[in-house]
Amino acid sequence: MTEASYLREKLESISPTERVERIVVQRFAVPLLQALGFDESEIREEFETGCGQVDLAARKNVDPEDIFLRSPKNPYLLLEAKSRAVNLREGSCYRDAVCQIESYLLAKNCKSAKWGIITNANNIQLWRKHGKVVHPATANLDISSDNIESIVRNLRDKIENYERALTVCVYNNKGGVGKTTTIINLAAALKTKGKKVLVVDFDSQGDLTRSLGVTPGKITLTQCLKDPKIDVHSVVQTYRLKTVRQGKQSIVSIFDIIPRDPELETLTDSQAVAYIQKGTRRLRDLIAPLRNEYDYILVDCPTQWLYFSQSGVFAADVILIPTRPDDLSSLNNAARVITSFVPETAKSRQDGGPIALPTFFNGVPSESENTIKRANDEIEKIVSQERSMNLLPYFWPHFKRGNENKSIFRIPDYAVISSASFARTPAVFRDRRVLEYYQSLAREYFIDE
Amino acid sequence: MSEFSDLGRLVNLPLESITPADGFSAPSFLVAAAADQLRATGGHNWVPLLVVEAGDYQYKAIGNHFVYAVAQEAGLERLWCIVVDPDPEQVKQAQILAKEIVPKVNLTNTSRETILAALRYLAERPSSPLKGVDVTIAAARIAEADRSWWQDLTPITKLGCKITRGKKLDALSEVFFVTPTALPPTLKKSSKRSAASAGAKKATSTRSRKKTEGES
Repeated sequence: MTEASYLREKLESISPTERVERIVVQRFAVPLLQALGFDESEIREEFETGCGQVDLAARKNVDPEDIFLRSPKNPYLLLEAKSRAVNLREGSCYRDAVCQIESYLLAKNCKSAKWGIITNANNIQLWRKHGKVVHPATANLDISSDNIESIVRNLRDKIENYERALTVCVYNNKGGVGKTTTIINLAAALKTKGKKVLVVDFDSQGDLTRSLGVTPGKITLTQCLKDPKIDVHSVVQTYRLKTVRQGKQSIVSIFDIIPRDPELETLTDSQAVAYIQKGTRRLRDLIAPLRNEYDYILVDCPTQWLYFSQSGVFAADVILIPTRPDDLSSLNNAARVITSFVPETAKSRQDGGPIALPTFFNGVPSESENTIKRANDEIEKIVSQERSMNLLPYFWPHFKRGNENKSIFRIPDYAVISSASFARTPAVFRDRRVLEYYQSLAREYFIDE
Repeated sequence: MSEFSDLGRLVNLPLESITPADGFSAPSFLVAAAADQLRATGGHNWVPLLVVEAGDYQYKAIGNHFVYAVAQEAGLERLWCIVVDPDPEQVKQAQILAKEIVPKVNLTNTSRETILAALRYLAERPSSPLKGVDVTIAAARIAEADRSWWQDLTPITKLGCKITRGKKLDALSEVFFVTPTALPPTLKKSSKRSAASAGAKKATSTRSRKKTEGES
């Protein structure tokens, strides 16, 4: 009997109204982990994450001296089980379980953990951790005897083939919030933290490409979009900077870039988009071969919810949304991205993604506490008026019951940031304070240090 | 329609990504002359090929197959296509509208007018096997018959309207199908009979039991 068919048999042995979580753990969750390739000595029950006990943790025993069951350290996968009486399909119980697995994955004893599973033997969802980001790797799936084997195959395939990159689309439906500036400086800040980064200029205006002084090569992004047979590596270029150290000049590679080419402009016309097979889904396929070559892939796209931005959001694991405290419309448009565009895209992708990260304030002038207060009042209004979902975690991620912390991450408005594009050099390399701020942005959202 | 789906979109696809229909054929004169016209007018086919997605960057032609044949003859590398919903009923609808297949009506409950129109359509086709059949009379007799129990079209052959088994009945199956809603008359009778005999048996057994009880 295969592990998967054993699992199916076990699943069928659980009462549809089973109220005891332990039964789900033993009859379903443990056999599930075995079907995912972990043997008994690689699974530990009630693992202490540092932020509470998770029901199960698992890790392959590579070193015969280091058996996970005996020395439960450095887990690779965590599993939080619930009884069948808990509704994990939707609603508050599901959201609570998501928060729980997220906090376990980010807890201090789980630095090595890459995957989290929540399940009650009726539903199951796989979550992936990349640095500080925890995002869905599958949709929240309904389990049945008929599909459990294919669910196991799908999960096992993902768990055994962890992709290196996190794809981030920087987007707000309102212009002038500093999307391109964020991409350039975040990419450079990530580089200073030892990360390998690719930026994709998917804005037909090409501000990103122009401000870095990059010119497209013989084979262009537009050609690559139109012809799936072209190897995407042929459009990747490297952005380099001249540096002088101890009087010696050298050229240092900063990050890679897929530059915008002039023909990309033609794709603002829907007739031209007709030449791109799979339309708005094409960009995701195009960058797929690069996902194991970079730590971060950052996609820049324009404001309007049309071909370019739809493609960028569709291609992403997570959406980073800059706003400006002095532009209330940027806050309302951020809410629209979170409540409408992202869920619409996720519905179409059917793999749980993408998700929105909490918003941040970009270009905050000094002595702007009144502006921030006005922005927070507006956020309060947006949150209270939104009926379809709870927007609080997206605007005030540190806000908790009993601790109404309304702090939002800020990047100050330094003149050097806006003037950097003329110098063809990211501002982070021209001003130490700017570098520190963008490194903080990287730490706040992405890097687990 | 979602922004992330090609369904219903007019797309320009490489010919090599499209699998043409099996068994489609058109007269070589029509194909060659249409290809000349397509080439002479710049190669933009205004009538699209109908395709369904058959995999990543792969498509299958499901309608307007003539367009594919002409484009290939004209040496086009790309072709304007409409991406159709792959649901079999939607594909069927597209094929009916493209006149690739003939729509069928349910003869079990369709009206006399529809039956007459369908028979006329068949009779007026070149080399129709319905030659010699008076379609007005045939339609009237079919319409008057109790069709609710028909499991196939053979009862038509017993209506005396010169529609016999073989080519004529086969031609009718191109436009009609049946979904019976009642039992055939013979079964109806036999089921009545068996119900009656079951009642009689029950009565007899009750009588005999009473008799036995009385005897005791």
